[in-house]
Amino acid sequence: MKAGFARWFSWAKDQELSRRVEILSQSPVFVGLPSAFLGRLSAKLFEKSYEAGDEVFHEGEPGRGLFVVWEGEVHLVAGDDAAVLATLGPGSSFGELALLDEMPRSATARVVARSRLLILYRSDFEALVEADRALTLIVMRNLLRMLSAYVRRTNLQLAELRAAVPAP
Amino acid sequence: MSRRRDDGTGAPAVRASSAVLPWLGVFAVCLVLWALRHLLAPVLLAALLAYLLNPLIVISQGAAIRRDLAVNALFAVLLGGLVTLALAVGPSAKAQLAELFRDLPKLEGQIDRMASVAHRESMRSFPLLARVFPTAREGESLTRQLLGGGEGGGVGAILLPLGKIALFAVLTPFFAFFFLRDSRRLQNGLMNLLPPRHVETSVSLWCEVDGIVGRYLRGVALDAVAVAVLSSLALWAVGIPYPLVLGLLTGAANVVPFLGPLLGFAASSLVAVTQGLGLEGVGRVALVYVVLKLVDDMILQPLTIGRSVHQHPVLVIVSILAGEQLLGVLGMFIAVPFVTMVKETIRILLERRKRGRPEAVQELEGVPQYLC
Repeated sequence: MKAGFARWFSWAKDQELSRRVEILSQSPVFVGLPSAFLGRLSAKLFEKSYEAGDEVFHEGEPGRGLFVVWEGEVHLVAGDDAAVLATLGPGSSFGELALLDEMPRSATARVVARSRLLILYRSDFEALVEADRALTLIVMRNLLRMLSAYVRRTNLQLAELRAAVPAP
Repeated sequence: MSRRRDDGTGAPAVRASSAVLPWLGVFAVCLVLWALRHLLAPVLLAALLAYLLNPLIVISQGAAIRRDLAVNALFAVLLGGLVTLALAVGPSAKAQLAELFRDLPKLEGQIDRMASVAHRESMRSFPLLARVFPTAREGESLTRQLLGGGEGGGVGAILLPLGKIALFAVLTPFFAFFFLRDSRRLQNGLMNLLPPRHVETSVSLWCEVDGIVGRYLRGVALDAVAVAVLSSLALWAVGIPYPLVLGLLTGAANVVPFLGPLLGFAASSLVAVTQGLGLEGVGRVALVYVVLKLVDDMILQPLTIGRSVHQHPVLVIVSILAGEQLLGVLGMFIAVPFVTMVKETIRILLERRKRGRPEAVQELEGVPQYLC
């Protein structure tokens, strides 16, 4: 009976949706969230194909959503010299801060190889999260952990820079 | 020839033609849609139905169930529900409809006599009205003439709209099934047509409009069901004949603001008068509809639609009339949701424009100098 149900469930399962859930669960923003919620979130994701050289968003533009790399490769670049800050492959997400506010993007996201990206917009995310306070707490904790890690790393870099530059 | 075009003189012409071409395309699409407007009705209704049902499919996707299976299951459940409903209230509704059809010639005669008297008196008192309303042709029912059914008559005049309704009843769920099943593919196809630089803005706009309009449409649908149930019960309680049919009509008409409740009241009053209940019957009907309107405005609508979308009454009336002119009865039903969608899109765009581009430095003024 159990085996039969398992066989039926694997037949009825949406493989692509399951892969989306798996990828989302690995993103630091969504760690610890129940898979049923991630399933509903996955159904809200938009999908778009990009060609190499396409800009997903540009530094300074208001951020409105989170992007997840489904296939391909994306570079995050910043500054006039377009220094590469990060190289993102399948399963990586970027633009997380747009889930918190509509502040300008701090970097440009550029596609370096033909890619498929999943896009989650803030209003969809907020609508799902606001329906459940417990989920809001988990997501906020994840975002705070990310920000905290980022602040610690920046502090270390700042300390290293100060040490490297002799005091006047 | 081509050389001359390339060296400057031809470039503006090429630019102008490339700017005009998309608009010509849009114009051509509008023309085709206008030519096929009679076929659009079931497609639009199906799209609306699919849109209303989509949240149920999203819930099933929480369990990672295949979309096609979820849609099949939903339609099976809906069909089962309809069959159960038909078995439960079918005999009573069938009896009421049969009685209504049996009494139709008598009702028509009575309405015609009353309408003729009112028509004659109005024309005598206000000759200008003759320009708006036709003068009764000899030997022809004024009711049919006013309702636009003067050419046909008898059983054919009744069966023709019934045939249309049957076609709608088959085509609408058929299209809705495929819209619902393939909406993700359709959405991805549209996304791939968007230039990358417009993706974030366009889709965030869609999400915001979808949130507001979706809540509104689902609210309107729930409100219509509640009004149908309440009016059926209330009409039955005050002893008006055909309460189920009139209740269903009231619920469906309630989707059209302002005019809908009046239509329900008018239909119920006519039935009351023609069934010999006289002014007392009309009084009972009026009481039902006044109480129903109060309950709808003060309890049902705040619970279902809420206050997220508010339209000015003049805008509502104008949009309903324009919808009726363009697409007939269906136009009256979809006018307000369509105007709501357009209005919300413009509002969000204007708000964004007013807010302008966020300035990171200004927003970060309260941030501490150092965090550890």
